[in-house]
Amino acid sequence: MSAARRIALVVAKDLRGELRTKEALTSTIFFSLLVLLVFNFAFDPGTRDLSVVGAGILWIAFLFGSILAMNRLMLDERQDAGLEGLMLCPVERTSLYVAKCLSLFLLLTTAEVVTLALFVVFFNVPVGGHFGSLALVVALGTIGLVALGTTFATMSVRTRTREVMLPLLLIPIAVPLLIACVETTGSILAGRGLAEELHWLRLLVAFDALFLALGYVTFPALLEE
Amino acid sequence: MQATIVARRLGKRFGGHVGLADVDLEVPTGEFLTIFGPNGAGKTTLIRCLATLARPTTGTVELLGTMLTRTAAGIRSRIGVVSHQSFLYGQLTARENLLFYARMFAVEQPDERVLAVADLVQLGDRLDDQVRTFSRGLVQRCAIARALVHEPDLLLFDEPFSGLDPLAAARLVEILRAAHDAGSTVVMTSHDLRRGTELADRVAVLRRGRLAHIQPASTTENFEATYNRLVTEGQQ
Repeated sequence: MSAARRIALVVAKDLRGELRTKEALTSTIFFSLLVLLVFNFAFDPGTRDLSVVGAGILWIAFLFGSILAMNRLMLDERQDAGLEGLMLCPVERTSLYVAKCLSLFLLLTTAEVVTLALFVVFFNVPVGGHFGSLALVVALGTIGLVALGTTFATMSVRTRTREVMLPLLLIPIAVPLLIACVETTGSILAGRGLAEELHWLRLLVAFDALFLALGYVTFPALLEE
Repeated sequence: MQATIVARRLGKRFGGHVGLADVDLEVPTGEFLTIFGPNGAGKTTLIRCLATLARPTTGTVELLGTMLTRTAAGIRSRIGVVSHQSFLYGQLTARENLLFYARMFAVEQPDERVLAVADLVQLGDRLDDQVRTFSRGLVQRCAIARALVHEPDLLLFDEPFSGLDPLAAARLVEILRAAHDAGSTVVMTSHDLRRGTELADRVAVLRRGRLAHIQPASTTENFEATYNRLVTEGQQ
């Protein structure tokens, strides 16, 4: 059996479990909703330039929501040692990294679609004209968060202070990713598109490639006792 | 006879704590070896090293003719493990869990095989219930079914009787005996001297991470006294 088939089996198992409980999805969406609500009250949307603050608000909602999803996904594997069950299967541990990244990507993307829709409603932001560009930036930003999150959640889930440990590990390293995402999203919200933001796009691609590669290489060692 | 397990100077440290030290162990193919030892003797660590879940700090392990390295994925298809944890997903049903593992191990006709192992461990009408609704004993039965679903050549069972009621424990004895009779190699750890010795070809004692004693199970009349002496000495 190919590695791709086993990766698909793990992803299908993750999604089946999540569809049954909806624990990660609901907590992520509700947390993102709360972030948007708080900022909506804090900043009167009519008095601020949304291209400046809107992008920041959106990515803060994505980031903090994603941390909940990362913790939840790994906690499911930690309970009753499901991850060790996967380690007993005839599959390379790098394939498990790919599977966990895909599961997290699908989960975060679903939550982000809902969060983005809420953002458009709360802040009355027109994104239709540049929807493709926004989708590209969100996808690249999500891949970066997934690459970091899968690695760091695997590390932190073994600690007693995992809820605190994960953001402490993730957020400082995610700063370049966040800056690039906020800059590019701000340009899109201002109606300028991505033509002038190619350097930030390149940074996003490089960040994703670097941390996916690092996660792929280090994941087997993270699993070992 | 060819050996299924060859461990040489196997050691495992956890920081300053010694989990295993200089364990030399050879288990011929088809043998049933029961390992006894007090809590903290290193039984679980030994099973985890043999199961490729823990990386030995020192020494080598050869399983089924293959030296264990970092990339031991291929050999895992021939090993079945029961541990203190079930390796099951609580939000999935027993059938979904067993089917998932059957497919991961590329079992032919997984649906039929899942029904067969569920019947073997007498999961009965709970096959379509979520595992998180199971009692400890039912979880353990499901974990045993998971370990057997791919018909492994080597069974590594770490205290498999824990949590089982007398009927389920008797059933497990039958399952282990059948697997042994079918040619599987079995390494089991246990605190239950009676069950452990009646199933085994050889019995061993681990003490403070070292293999302190090993003997044929056919001469176990003095084994209980030997075990008690070794454990008492180890505590002094």
